[in-house]
Amino acid sequence: MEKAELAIIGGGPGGISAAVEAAGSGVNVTILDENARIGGQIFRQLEKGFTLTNPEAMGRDYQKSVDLFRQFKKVASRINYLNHATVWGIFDDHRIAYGRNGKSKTIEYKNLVIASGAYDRPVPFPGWTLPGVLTAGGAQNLVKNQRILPGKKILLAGTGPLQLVVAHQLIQAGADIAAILEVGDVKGMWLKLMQGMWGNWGYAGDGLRYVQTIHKAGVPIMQNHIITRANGNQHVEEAVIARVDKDWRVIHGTQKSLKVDTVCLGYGLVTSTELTRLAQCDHTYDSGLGGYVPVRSETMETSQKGIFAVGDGAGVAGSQVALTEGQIAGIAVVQALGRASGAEQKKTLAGLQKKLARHHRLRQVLDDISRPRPGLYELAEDETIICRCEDITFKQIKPLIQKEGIKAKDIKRRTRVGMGSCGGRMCGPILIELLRNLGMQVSKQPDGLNVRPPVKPVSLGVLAGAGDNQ
Amino acid sequence: MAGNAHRIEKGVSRGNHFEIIVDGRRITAYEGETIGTAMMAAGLYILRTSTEKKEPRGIFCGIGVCQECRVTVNGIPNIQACKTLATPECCVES
Ligand SMILES: Cc1cc2nc3c(=O)[nH]c(=O)nc-3n(C[C@H](O)[C@H](O)[C@H](O)COP(=O)(O)OP(=O)(O)OC[C@H]3O[C@@H](n4cnc5c(N)ncnc54)[C@H](O)[C@@H]3O)c2cc1C
Repeated sequence: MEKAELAIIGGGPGGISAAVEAAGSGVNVTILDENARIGGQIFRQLEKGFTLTNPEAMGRDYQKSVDLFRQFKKVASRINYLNHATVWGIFDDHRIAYGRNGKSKTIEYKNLVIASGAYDRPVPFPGWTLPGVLTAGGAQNLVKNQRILPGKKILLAGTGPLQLVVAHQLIQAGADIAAILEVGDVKGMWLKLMQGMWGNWGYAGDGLRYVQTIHKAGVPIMQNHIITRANGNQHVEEAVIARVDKDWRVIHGTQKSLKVDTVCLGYGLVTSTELTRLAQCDHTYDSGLGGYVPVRSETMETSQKGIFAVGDGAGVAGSQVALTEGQIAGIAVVQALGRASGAEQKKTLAGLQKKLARHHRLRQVLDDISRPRPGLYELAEDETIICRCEDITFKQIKPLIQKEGIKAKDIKRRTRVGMGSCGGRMCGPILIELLRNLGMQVSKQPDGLNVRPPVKPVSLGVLAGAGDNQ
Repeated sequence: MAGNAHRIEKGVSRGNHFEIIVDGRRITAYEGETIGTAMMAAGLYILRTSTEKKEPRGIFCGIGVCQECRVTVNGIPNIQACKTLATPECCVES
């Protein structure tokens, strides 16, 4: 069995910065990521086979990534980078199991950093399962990694600054964007937004540039607007949009139709917690941070000793926070392994904590705009699909969620919601928010939709071979 | 109506191209493209039919989470089209 002083799951900004920090102090690191190349979501690289001819066309995030990858290269001799490696199990005895090239292997770790990232918040409304409706992050991935535009006439619907990033990327790639719907109330927030950006000039500059591109392209940004329905025969042909009130509830009589062939949904992100759950870390629910999040110490350690969680997977807060948290966890691991003197690192840590506080100030303001409001989860009609894998409609779960004291796990048992091949990662967050909308108490621990290994689909062959090299 | 996906030429050049077979039809794929991308570029957006309602489904999350893009490749079911690279002459059933 392979051994690692530090195993890191996730090769995004959080995982990379933890690796750079620890490897820089002499720790032997193994990183596992299911993608072909490092970078995670924001720094997603072009797939092999494509040749970059003009870096500028790839946007500013790409340029930032070049820096990070350079740091990574410097310490690469101490890093064992396993791509195409999907971690499917974490076990009590400091072992993780992963599938790679059709085989399952295990690693024994001394310390573990989980940097699993986040994904777009699923929001059910009539027509959201039609081909041509995709997540904003998915569209970005198509543009960044595959250099393909999913359609010609695109509607962006959602909330928050990531929408501006997506719009910018799509426009640069030549897309015609019909409109950007911001469901939140940004107008009343400008002052707060500016306050939050104080000390975060990097963000403010980026934001401004994005807005300029959008204006120049003549794309309207419609505040307090939501998509209520996607129509079409086998593919999106039309989107119905409407104005909303401050609770994001549709104001009747304001519906309008837009002819589009693609809809990108960007309602913020939800945390990928299947790994911290599997490791039986304590969690808490915070809808502003993207759902269930692991409880952590100041050095990013979870309730399980030696297991750290950083980045969007531990609370959605963007790449800058992921980088900083990764660095903090890296230092903590170096200390735990007794590789550092102490005094100097304490100073670095204090500086990093301050940086985090600054980022969180901005995040809080963005949260005020983008934290989901009740109207968001009132768009589903009887025939709207809630669970995409098992084709379970809102009508089927409606009588259950209205029952006093019902738990997510009861609904799962009665309807199969959450038992499909996505492992409840789509319908789980929806179910929790539907329950919250009805005033139900959400349990502190995410035990409702319990996860079991394998947490990610790996082929039966991989699992059958799981005992081979232990 | 189908979608209007198209390959972006700006900023990149593509490598070799080859053909793959989707439901008996030959389409072009470039090195580095996933099965989902090649299909989308050919106007094929429907990757599976849902189990109960028999509705069309296509790429949704685009990062390997939602499992909507599962197709059968060379006889092996449940392959994620959004993550799996196209290979010359591979046989895809949607
Ligand atoms: C699709 C998408 C696109 C985004 N694009 C941008 C953008 O352009 N600009 C921006 O500012 N923000 C973007 N974001 C927000 C982004 O999440 C953060 O800015 C940043 O990438 C977070 O870094 P991270 O290290 O926490 O996680 P990520 O970058 O998400 O990295 C997590 C990594 O862990 C891997 N992983 C997870 N589970 C497993 C497992 N079980 N086994 C193996 N590997 C695993 C994932 O494949 C991924 O590579 C995007 C988010 C998403 C979901």
